Amino acid sequence: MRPLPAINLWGVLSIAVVLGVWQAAAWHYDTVLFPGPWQTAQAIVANFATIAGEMGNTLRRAFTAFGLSVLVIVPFGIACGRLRPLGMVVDPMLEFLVTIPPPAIIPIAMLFAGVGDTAKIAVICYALIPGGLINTIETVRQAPPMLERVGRSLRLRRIESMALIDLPAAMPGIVTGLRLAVTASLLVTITAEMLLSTNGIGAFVQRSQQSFQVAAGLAGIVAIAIVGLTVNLGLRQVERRLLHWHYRAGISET
Amino acid sequence: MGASAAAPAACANEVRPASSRAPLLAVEGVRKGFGGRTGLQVLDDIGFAVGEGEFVSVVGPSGCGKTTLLLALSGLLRLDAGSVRFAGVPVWDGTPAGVAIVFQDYSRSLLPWKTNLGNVLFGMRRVGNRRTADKIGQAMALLAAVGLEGFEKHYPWQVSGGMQQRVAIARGLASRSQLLLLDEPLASVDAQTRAEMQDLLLGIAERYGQTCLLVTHDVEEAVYMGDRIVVLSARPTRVVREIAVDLPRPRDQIATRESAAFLATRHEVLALIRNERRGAVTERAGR
Amino acid sequence: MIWLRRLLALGVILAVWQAIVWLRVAPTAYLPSPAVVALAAAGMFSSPEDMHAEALTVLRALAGFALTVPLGIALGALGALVPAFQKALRPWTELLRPMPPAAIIPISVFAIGFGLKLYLFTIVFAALWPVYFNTVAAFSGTSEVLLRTGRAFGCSRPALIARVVLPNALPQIFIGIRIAAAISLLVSVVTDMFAGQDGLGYLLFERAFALRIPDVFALTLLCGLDGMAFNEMVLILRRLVIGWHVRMTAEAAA
Repeated sequence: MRPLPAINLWGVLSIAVVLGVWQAAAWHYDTVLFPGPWQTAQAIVANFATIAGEMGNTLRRAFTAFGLSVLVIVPFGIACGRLRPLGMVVDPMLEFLVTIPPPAIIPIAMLFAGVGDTAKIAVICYALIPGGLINTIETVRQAPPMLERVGRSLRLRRIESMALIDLPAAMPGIVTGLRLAVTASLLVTITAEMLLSTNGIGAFVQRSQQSFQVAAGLAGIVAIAIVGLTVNLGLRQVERRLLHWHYRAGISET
Repeated sequence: MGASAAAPAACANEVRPASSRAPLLAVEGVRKGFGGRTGLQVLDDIGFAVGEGEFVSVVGPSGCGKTTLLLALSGLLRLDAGSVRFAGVPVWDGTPAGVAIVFQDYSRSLLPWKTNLGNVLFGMRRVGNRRTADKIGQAMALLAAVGLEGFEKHYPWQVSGGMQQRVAIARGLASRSQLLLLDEPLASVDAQTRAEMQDLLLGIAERYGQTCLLVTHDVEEAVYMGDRIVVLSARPTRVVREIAVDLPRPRDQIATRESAAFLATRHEVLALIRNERRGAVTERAGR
Repeated sequence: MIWLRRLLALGVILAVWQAIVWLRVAPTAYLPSPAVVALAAAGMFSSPEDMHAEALTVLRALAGFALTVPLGIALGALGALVPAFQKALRPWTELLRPMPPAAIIPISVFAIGFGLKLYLFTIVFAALWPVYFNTVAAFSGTSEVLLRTGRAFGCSRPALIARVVLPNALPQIFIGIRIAAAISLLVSVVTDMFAGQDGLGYLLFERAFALRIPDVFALTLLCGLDGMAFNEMVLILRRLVIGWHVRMTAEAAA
């Protein structure tokens, strides 16, 4: 839409103010348990390799889980949206599953699968799939009925119709849902890592906190924020590119 | 051109000879542009007057800034130059208490969280010194006057477009304002309802002695409704001519529209507008 | 009608669950049958310790939610009315929005300590954004005609905001409020897990480590019930505040 936005002076100002206050507070308390921005920056540099490595683990895990979830969400979601009886059975189950907060699943996952990758990926999939399915099903259901008639007039089989007509028509809604799912996958991964520590940036932050290395922990948090921000911005660009043709291209910022 | 339709056009501020009072609304030298020096000059030296009890129609070719003019007259847009005086007091920022507006886009103008009655009451915001029970009674009477008796407790989105616009009209009347500004109120209403509502408006204006300024793109409507027609030019807009409408009241959808005087006035206005439109086109082509 | 379908769906879930248990697909020690879980649930409801934990988690979530909503609306209104404020806030919202609430809990415990204030902080931190963003969007998106109407009928700036802009914005704000409610419960549970003192989250892990598996299932289901209750609460609130809009969309769909 717009070209590069002008520099947000007020934003820069607010960042400067917050950093300033933070640093002043850190000087005031003068303890290793309250690092200021400068110390945090130093911790970032000192721990850079570890952080990068752990972040890699986290991202790998998050995207694997995301990929698995998409493989379930898209085809199954379209099927449920199109095939009324299937949808009717699945709907209430999804409605229920979506009310359980993903962190509440972590203890169960731990019981079944220990603390390794499997457990974490299972948790992430649980967090993504019900919501993603609901979103996809809604999107498919809201497709103009005209499309179904087109499919029938071309004598497409059910499966062909779903792949060739429903899928592209539902794409905008699905893509938006998936964008939110990517952010969620990152979020849940880190949460799971903090509770089921083995490796990953979440585990790193948890370990640092527990050994009172606050600066290192903060460094981890800053890294999470930056990666989260980058992923988010990147995704919005991708979405904008993919959907620029779509009349609903006034994509919400949420 | 019909002799009976000619009218003095010269001085924009000229008060109608029949009235000896100062005009209710006096517009003088109004200019409004958008976008600075390189931008668009929409209004360029507009001047006319509206006397108490008059029904004045404003017409012009499309794009001539009729809505801009109305917003300027009601204090919702700042003028670049010129003045608008309502009852002698300059209109500057915000609509004066004696002025009410009926917008074209009724579906977005009515408050969807209020009932029809609530919306009419909203028009009475500035009528401060009355008891609530009185106000409700007044509002119900107005809704009945516009033919919406029984729909007071409905929400605007529960009734048809024509009915919504009637609510807006009732709301406009509710504030007991001296001047009612109407911005193409019937443009979004279907053709059959339009005739009905034209007569409704005329009836109400008559009944309440309401001074009205109607902005419209429909020339026949302008002639049918008005005592006087202000014809605007193409952009940058000026007043081309003011034409007195010499038709008997009450007006009738069939008889009036067939009368010689009506057709002559209609002819005059249409010719003026067509002239303006052609002028604008050649000017644009010449650039 | 809806409740009939929900009961049917519940029946299907229970049947599938029982079938999985019978077929011994999962290790029986780790997947109890529905009957066993039901028994555990009954025990849970009559256990003062468990109900105390439930009350704590739910009340903290409610407290956080009750704080978040007015704060989010106020900040959102401010952001919409004072563009400088919104610009100043933007770098922070972009950075903090993708941040997993879990990541900041250890630091918050450090800085704030335990108790209600910890929960208030973490919940507001996570749940503020949907309310804020939806409020800003709703305020900024007020139609020009509506604004002109307000001013035409003599609304001063404060009156315009209170009587026209805000009521018009509420439907969209409620979308954010609904999301915030779910987040409030989620963060309350997660904070329990990290703060390690009391509440459902803590109990979940305690029971998991003690291998009291039916209890873990029962508690997880309780979290789901809480989630549904929260959602219902928001829907009731929504009908009270913007009943007109609920009816309008219902009638439009009909």
